[in-house]
Amino acid sequence: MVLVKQRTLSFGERYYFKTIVVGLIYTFKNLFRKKVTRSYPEERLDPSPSFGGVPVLVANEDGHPRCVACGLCEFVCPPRAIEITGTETERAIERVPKTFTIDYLRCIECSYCEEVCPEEAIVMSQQYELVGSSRGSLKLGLDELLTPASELSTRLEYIRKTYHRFQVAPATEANASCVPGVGGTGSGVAGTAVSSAKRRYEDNY
Amino acid sequence: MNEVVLSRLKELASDADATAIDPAADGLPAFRLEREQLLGFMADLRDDPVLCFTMLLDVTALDWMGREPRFEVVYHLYSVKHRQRLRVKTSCTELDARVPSLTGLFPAANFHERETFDMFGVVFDGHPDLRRIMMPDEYEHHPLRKDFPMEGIEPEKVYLMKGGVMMPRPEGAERYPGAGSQVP
Amino acid sequence: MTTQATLSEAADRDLHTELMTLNMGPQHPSTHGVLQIQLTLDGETVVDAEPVLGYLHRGKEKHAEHMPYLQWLPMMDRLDYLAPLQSEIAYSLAVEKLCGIEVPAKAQAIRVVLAECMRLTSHLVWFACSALEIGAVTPFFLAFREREDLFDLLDELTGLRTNQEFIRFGGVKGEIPADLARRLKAWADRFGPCVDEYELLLSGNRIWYDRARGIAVLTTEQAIQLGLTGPNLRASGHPMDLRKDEPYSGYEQYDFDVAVGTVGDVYDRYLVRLEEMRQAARIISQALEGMPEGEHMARDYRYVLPPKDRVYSSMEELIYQFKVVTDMRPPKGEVYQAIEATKGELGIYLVSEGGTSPYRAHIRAPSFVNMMAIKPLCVGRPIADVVAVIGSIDFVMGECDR
Repeated sequence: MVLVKQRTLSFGERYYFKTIVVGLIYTFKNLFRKKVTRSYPEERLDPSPSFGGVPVLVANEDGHPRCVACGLCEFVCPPRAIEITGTETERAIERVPKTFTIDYLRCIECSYCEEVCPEEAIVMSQQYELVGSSRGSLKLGLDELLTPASELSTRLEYIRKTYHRFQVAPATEANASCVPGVGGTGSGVAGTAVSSAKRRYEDNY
Repeated sequence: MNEVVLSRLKELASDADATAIDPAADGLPAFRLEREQLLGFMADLRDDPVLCFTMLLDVTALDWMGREPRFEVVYHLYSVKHRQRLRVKTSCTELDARVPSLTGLFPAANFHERETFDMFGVVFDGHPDLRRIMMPDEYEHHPLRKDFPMEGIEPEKVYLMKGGVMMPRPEGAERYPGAGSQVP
Repeated sequence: MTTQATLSEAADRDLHTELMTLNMGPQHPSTHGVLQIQLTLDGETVVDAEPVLGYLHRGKEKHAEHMPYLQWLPMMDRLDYLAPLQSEIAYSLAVEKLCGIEVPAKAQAIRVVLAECMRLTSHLVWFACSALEIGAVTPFFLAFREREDLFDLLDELTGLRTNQEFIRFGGVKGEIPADLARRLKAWADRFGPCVDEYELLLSGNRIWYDRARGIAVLTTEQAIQLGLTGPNLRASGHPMDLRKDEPYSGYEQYDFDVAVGTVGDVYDRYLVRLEEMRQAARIISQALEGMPEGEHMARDYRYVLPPKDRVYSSMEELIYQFKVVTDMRPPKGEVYQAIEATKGELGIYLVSEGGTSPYRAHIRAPSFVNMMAIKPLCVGRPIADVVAVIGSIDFVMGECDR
């Protein structure tokens, strides 16, 4: 415990001599310190890979979105900025989004959507300057949101470093019981993995 | 948890006909009692030389809609001597939503009780100045009740700045000035 | 001079006096945020000071009943918007207590670092603004310069300068890279002497001394009766600090002191907060130096998101991912979790009925309770002291109104 001590003023402090001198010396010293002011917009911010701007959709090499319209990002978005409708497709993928709208005016750039996406299909861009001439212009649809994956490579690398918490092999017997109280018969084979997951699922709930 | 404190609490609780609630996830001792015994029990807790629950941390309420009694008022107390927390619960029905006020014992209950009245409609008898604190003074509803929608209900009357007198909304006036004028 | 004396004197002189109502309205540079104080003045003496709250009421507790637990977490950031992460830590601790999740040691250490960084940002704003309101303009720039450095470091770590949303149930979102940890520790070591500079400018300054010494004294009994906690209570002489009394998140491992005042006036509260800034820098240094090894998130996949690389490849983790996001149900129960926030004790009272949203989430905001001290401290004092009192109590309307 530290008792903060009140003090009584010395002679110099009581008659302002020390105060004036100290103040002036301090101001003079600060004339030559580096300034933290940035002359924005001439000097722009150069964000690091970890900077999260507004979210964009990732497009594969063939131009199609990686998104499978699972709806996790729509569900988890705190301000409910994302709206998705899905549709079927002939490609070898379950679903694709028919419409995908993000309302940038609602987005709080929390990066929850990026964190829950199981396909690396939505990532945060480096854009933080949102300018529009009407409310509707900042509600972007699928075409405006698609960005090629090559442009987003630094961000994709960053999220792999952050969210891939342990680079391990698929669940084995040793580390299968990640949930306390549940014994698992996890294995690497897809078929038995599904059935064991179902059993664990039912065990818990 | 201090054994001395626990045993003394049990003694006081039996005097006030308070039943102990099973320990919650946070392990706090908790008691439920009738609102008639509330003032006496709280005074004992505060003045008892062994216990010294002198600090009232929080007063809030729960709305168990569909159950009787509907409102449950929850108090959290803290003893600076033993560094121990305590939870006390009392309840009241919807039609007779009155609970005695603790402002005489703990001045800290003042704003908390006003907020509970504002949000739930529970009246605290004996409060020196029971009026709304968060919502506008003339608001007709109690927001944290379960039958109040999350989107909110607009007040019926618009508060016009004419000497502080509340005036009804003139016919044909928009709900929010300028609403609908922006084209998406 | 008390009101009675002035009024009776005036009556003796046969002067007609009346009390004036002055509205220190919601838009005022000195009320920290949107606070309205209705002052009733007799000349320059305050007869009554009635705070009017609710201008920033956003209905967070109502939202909690309709949003899943994880979706409500960003709302905690916006409570005390000067120190966002500490409110998230309070809520995460409450949910972890409810669900029985064990947080790994590394995540606890990172949480301590972030909480103390937030304490520093909040106290720096307090320092800047309360000095500015009394008339000292220079400390504002000095404090905000330090805040810029801190924000740049936090930006690199979390991705955002403010409202970072970095805490998750069961841990933190990411770990602190080694290079960043080194720079953060260097900043914390450099910060202690900065506080000495601030003291040099203000503590011995006669103007500040006269404006702060002996003003608005709050005794320990008064403070406890009003339910005050945090620096306001400690300045009145009572050493209550939840980091020492009921340690959470590994605080018992760190060596720091609790600053306690003697008199309880504005000057004491100022000194206590300055000392807290020094101690916070000390804790950050220790926590970064002794950062334990391990994971930064718990492995309880009922409530915690599984690691992403396994979500891409393995079926169980994919199902857990979907289950945690859409259907996380803590067990039935109630919990009250309190932390030592910058303004006092921030308590979260969660009642769960086994659904995906809390049945009731109540926030015991320290600023709301600190508001109750405005009236007893302002009555009987000149109006100029109202500004000093508001600055020294240090509340934030986001937390007060929720």
